[in-house]
Amino acid sequence: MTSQTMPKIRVTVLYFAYIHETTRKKEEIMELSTNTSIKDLISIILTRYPNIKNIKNIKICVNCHIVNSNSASILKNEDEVALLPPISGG
Amino acid sequence: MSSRDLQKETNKFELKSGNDSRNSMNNNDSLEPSSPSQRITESEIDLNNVLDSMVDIEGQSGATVIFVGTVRNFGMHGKVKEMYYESYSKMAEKKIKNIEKLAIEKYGIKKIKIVHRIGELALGNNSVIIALSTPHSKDAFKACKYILAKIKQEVPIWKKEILSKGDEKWVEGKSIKTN
Repeated sequence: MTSQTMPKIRVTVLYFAYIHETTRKKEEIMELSTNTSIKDLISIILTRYPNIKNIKNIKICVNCHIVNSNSASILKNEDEVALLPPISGG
Repeated sequence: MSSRDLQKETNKFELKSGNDSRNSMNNNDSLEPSSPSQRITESEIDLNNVLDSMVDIEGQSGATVIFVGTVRNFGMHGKVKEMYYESYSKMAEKKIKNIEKLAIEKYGIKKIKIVHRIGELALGNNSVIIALSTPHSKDAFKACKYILAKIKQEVPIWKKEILSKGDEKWVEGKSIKTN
């Protein structure tokens, strides 16, 4: 199977607060191969937006649940992944 | 597109997400003393409505405590002229709902309402309210402090200070606490 015919999944990635000032976008849809892990996706994001590395203590959420950024868990089609910098509400 | 324009676009998206969240709430809401409501809003928080929602005609409560957080004129980065709040509304609604459930169990709360406002807020505007009633006042005060601390630790909301000298700076907060 060539890379062009490999099955793909679509994942929504959300960027909040000072992260979206780095990415210059609030959200995007990423088309990924079906075996993409959370760790893989974070690697892709950091390659695309290297300045995110300068922001400390970012938490990763998948479908509103906080996960380990090094997780080998495989993402599913239509998952929503959010990058959350330290919070300051209240 | 400017940074502020980008944020306005963001809010449109978040409000949509928030609605989706509310639509997906399950029947567990009916177990709560207060009726389900929007916990993240761009609208002004009406304190009279909040007070009305605390009225307990059955007399189960002997104390009502209300905390109102407001925008003050000084912040982490200097003199503030307004504040901008952003949230991951879908997750924030869920987190606040969970905080309500924990507080109800822990302090025997009979009525509760928590609302956090997002968007651009002027000095003195109400940014967050926590209203609750319990049989005894001691529990009401404790519950209110507990809830405020949990909001600051767990709810994905960020604020940016719009400073008098013209620039804008995000408030450096705390890493979101995982349970």
